[in-house]
Amino acid sequence: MIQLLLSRVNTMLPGLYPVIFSALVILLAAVSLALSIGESPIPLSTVYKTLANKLLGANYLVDTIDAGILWEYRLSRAVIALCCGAALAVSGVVLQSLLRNVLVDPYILGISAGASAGAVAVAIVGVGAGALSMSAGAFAGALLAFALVMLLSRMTGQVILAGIAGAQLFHALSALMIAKSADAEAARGIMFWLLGNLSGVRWENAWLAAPATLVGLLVALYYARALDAFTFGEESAQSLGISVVRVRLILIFVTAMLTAVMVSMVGSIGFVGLVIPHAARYLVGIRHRRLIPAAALLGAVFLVIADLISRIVISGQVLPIGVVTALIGAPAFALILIQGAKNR
Amino acid sequence: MISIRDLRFTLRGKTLIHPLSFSVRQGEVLGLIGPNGSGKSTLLRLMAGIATPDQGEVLLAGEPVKAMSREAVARQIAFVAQQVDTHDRIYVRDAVELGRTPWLSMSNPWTDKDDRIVEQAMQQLNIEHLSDRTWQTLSGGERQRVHIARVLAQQPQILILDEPTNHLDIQSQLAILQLITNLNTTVIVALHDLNQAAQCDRLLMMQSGRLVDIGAPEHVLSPENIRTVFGVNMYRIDDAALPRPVLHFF
Repeated sequence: MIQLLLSRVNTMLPGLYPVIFSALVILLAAVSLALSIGESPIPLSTVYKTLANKLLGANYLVDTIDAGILWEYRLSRAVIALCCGAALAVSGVVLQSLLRNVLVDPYILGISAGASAGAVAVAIVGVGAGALSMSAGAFAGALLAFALVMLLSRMTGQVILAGIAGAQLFHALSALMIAKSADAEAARGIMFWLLGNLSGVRWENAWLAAPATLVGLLVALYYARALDAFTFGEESAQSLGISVVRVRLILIFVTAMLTAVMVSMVGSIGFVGLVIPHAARYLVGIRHRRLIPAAALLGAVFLVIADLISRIVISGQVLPIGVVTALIGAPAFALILIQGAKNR
Repeated sequence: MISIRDLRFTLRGKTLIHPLSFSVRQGEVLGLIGPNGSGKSTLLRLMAGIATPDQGEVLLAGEPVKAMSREAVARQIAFVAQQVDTHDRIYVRDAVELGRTPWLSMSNPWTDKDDRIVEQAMQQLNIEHLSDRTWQTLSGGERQRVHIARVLAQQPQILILDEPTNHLDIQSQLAILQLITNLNTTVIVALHDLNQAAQCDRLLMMQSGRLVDIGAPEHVLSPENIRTVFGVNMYRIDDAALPRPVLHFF
């Protein structure tokens, strides 16, 4: 029976199983490494024993400091990295399909920059007088930036250039607000909001990141067929029975929410939403019921590994994670551009 | 079965379609002809419910299209716009499967029946052998066949096609035209080639957003109409060796 069910799913989703399975294995390995490697290395056996103690109620004897570092710092950080990677990758898939442009993602479109500015306005300038959370501020900023970029793109027909203008504007606003606050930590703060950083995230952040990612993922999957219908453009989608305006609004809202939640915790991280969807498309094709889960998993793997690299590449220092994603993402982006030019 | 009542469409203060009314009969092939910019594409988009008129209505079996859900409209009317393209590396089979979209939902998932409908549509267009090819590897004629297979998989009662033979070689043009005229569905098709349009059951002639004439091809394609609308002269060549008269323009 189970065999039959699995084979049925496999005929429906050819090519997905191997990718999902390999991505899960790699994700587990990456998370294990992320837990083990750090300023104070912790052996993998301690990692698994601690996890077994915490999750399964086992009674292995482990060093309490190691257990504390693992559980309180590294695991929450890894969980947020994987949520963030999944959320940004899914946002990228959705935006690329909705806007029919393979070169857009929340970062390029200025949504991340808007979320940064919104979060900074709440956290540093004190907009909302304590009644607004940083995520809410980020959400408002994300929507505002997206609305502005879309307006400019409608007026000029240049979505990428509009996005660049929007991103620059909102990044500048963030930098201005931080600089004006005359905080000694200002420069560090600017780096954080412009390039992202996972230091300082805790379990309370994970409790927001995980449900937000799950909701975003489920909504995107629910609209997988509608996203497929956009393959031949907006009018085609409409003639296939899709309420284009409604689907767009819902999905843009969801991507703005996902981006805002992530940016309010880790700053704006580029290239994940841009490059991962391409890799996922290459592996599982363009149908969204396959593409969305594959992109989510690949994004999760990518960011967990990027965070690991950012912690170990310069000993004693944590590199902003955006530097790592850009160092990997920018050449990948160039390859996509070259490939696109060849296909034209 | 599909009726246009007093339809008008204005864009940025410019009236693109002046109030017009007509009905399309069930099972007929209605050809839309007229010079560039005469409003053919706009009228087709209004009929497909893609554009919203600012006056009048489109009625489907007596029911106004604007009162129907998008999905309900898509189950009855399928539309292929001009030059529809994608940068996605979509497989032919996947592209045809898109046609089933309005029939599927969470409670109505994909079944073997949908597979059969897709296969039938592909057979009808003779594109089964292209199933595993990606969109980018297809020729213009093959792409147009895939589009038509997709809308056939949509199982509509009315098929709306905007210049489906544009930019195709003559062999593909004839093949597509023959296919369209032999379908068991109501077809509304915009065509540029007037000799090809003469094969339709009826023709609707447009000029500057106005309906000039509607009726049988031999009636609409009169030298007077052609001179008024296209500004050229027409000579009709009757030859017993040809299936129908040939129109010569000069």
